[in-house]
Amino acid sequence: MPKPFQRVLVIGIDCATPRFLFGPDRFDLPHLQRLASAGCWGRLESCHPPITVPAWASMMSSKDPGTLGLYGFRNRKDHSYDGMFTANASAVKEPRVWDILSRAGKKVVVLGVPQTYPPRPVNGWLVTGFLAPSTDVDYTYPKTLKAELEQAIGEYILDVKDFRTDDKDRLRDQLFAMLDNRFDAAQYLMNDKPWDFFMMVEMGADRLHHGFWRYCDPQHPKFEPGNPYENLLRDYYQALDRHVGDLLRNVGDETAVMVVSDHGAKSMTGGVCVNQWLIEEGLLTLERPVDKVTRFEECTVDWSKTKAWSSGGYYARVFFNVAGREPQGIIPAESYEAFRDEMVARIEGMCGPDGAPMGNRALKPKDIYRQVNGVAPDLIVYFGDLDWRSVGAVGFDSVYTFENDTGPDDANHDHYGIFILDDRSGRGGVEMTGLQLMDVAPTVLGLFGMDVPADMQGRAVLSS
Amino acid sequence: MKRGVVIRLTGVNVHETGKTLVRRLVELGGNAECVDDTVTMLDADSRLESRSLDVEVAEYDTPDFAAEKILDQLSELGLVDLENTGYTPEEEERIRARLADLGYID
Repeated sequence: MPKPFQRVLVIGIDCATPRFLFGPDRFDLPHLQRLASAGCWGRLESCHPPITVPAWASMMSSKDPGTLGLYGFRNRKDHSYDGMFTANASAVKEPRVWDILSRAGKKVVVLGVPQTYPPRPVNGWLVTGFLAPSTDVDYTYPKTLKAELEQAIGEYILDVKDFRTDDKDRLRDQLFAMLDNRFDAAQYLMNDKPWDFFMMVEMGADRLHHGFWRYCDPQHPKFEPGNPYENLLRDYYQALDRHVGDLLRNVGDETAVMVVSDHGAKSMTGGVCVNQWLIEEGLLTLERPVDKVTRFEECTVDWSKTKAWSSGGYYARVFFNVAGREPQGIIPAESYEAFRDEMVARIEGMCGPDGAPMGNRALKPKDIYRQVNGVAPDLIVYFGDLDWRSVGAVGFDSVYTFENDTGPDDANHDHYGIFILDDRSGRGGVEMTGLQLMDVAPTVLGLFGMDVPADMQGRAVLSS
Repeated sequence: MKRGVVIRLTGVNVHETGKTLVRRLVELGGNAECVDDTVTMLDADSRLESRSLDVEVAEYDTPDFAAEKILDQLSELGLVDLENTGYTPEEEERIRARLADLGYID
């Protein structure tokens, strides 16, 4: 059994993508790559769905989204047609690794981890993530940390503002400012507070990929050579790497260091107007047809003639209108599974605008989760296995759109993020395979020499 | 005679923890008092049955953290409602719009 570590540092980079750190296209990132070549590294398979919420909660609790009962940022409260809630920290009912460490007497610092607002007490200090409404609220634990932090670093930046802006210079500048701000906060907390476990997450890489992919990826359909942002992904990752290097100067061999991401990113081809498709398939009926692009929530649905509807985003959540379950359900309960199988076949059989099969995936929660809690979608759908996003609005001329309904977005999420662990055992850069998001929390506990709770679904990735 | 849940605290920082626990119970809409090392949750309507709970405050817990751990216990026993989404309706709508702007949802 390896000797337990006194301290563990986890640096989270939302959406950090393996190809930029590990692959032949990798950027020159000396600090991150030195960590990887000293320890072990690999792709980290995300959860279903591979999205910030619930991925970070799944990672740090080692429970799958079905067990958490969280299937995205917005979830159905009940089986009504419009009862939804935003899944913030209050929705996470399973202990995360800092809760377990707190109860064991370890001092923890948690900075910017998604789904930590509103702040819950820890044995240490917590600064919530971007789901805090603003910095006017109490976004820290203890409450006094807010004023202390703002005195130390100035305004704390929760997220970029006006992400959908066409002013790309402004967006770029905000991303770098937020990066600097997050690491300023990390440096302050790391040096001022006595900690055993320190975890931070920076969101900027996610915003960067979504906002600038087309300018940086020559394979993107909208790429224009010589554009002013052509090297922005590289520049950002290198700035991030420098910050990581500066942070690592604060720790020595007593600290195991992990760098992780919740999912990756890839080029996005376009959007599938899923509710439009359901209408054309005769599965969804509106009381009044629309004559322009209209948000689905603004439409009046004829539920007596509707079997399915969907929520959009980077993936689709498809819901069925089941008799005895939904208020005006029409699918007989005894036909539910047969209907679901039919929907899987229809969705996975979809062809794209070029007539070729899209490669869609339609997943049943019962097949992918240990438990299905809360009100789960009936199907989780990845169009083109995430080459396409899902658009919930209706009123389009076609099921396929190449213009975003909400504004510029060039990338979708991908199923694999990154994992780097330097446990100071001189592994020499071993590539690990088969790593999954839920392995991170057990690994943290293992690094402290603590037992992994039996209900954690992942495994500890330890020195051997 | 006052009725309610009696929480007897032992260990370290019990007085500070007791005061903090009372403050948090009041914040959650209840009524409580702390005498010596005992916190009593008071129920004006006397609907709460008399019940007692012995809690040892762990040596490394701050009073704040220890009080929240007790609240978690009380919540599991159904004696305190900790349900709090943290958002006002206006904040929920602002967050929803921000998430749509970011592309996470429609």
